[in-house]
Amino acid sequence: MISINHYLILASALFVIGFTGVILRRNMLIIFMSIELMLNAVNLSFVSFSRFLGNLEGQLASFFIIVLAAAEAAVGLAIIVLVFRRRGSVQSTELTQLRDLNDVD
Amino acid sequence: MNGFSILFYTLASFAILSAIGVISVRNPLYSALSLIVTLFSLAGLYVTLDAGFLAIIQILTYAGAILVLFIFIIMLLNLHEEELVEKGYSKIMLGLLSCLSLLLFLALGFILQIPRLEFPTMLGDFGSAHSLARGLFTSYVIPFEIAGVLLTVALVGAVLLAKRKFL
Repeated sequence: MISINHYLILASALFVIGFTGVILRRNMLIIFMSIELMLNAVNLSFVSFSRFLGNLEGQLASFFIIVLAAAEAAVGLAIIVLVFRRRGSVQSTELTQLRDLNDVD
Repeated sequence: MNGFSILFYTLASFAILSAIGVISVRNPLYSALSLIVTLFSLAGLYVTLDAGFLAIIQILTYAGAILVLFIFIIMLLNLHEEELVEKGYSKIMLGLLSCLSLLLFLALGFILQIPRLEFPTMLGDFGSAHSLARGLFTSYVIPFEIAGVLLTVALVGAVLLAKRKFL
């Protein structure tokens, strides 16, 4: 029978996949999508705990997370468009203006 | 292996495989399409958890709004093939190792304890729009209003950022 452990293992696997995307990819659009993936993994664990405890507050929390993700995507994509206009690229390695020039590797 | 387990494993494998697709393909458009598959299978998992209304909201806002925004921006930027090549993979093993250790850390809790906690049987309108709205508009009404303000601020900010000629 499927227990809550199955859902939590799935949620942590999705979270780690999203985290890997944030760490390894250089394309800022894909980094944003990986962040959405991590938010969804957290949502899944909220909903499964809500079902497990018989308490609706977990589902309400995931509503607020969805709202937050929408707001974050709108502002983040606007920033990506600005960066692309200015730099002509969406690689996160291009954004080195605040870097210490003595620390080039 | 009853029908519920088959449903769970099908949806879970769809979610995992398409999530791996999101982070591994080169073209952002394909990774957005792969993300849609992940979100739909997560919506199916919400249905198995008696959260049908949340599943509908998930499909409406994520697949209907956020992913459309992503695809719109990807097509607007119209990246060429040479701009999609990613540089700076010198520390790839270090990154993979840190991600694997995080996965191990998260799985350790399940490996070590394993009392398998079964779900209790739920009755009636758990997760329906009616019961959710009762919580949302009584004890959570102030966060609800703040979320509305947050969305307004975010949209005004996004328009302001995108309208600007120089920054």
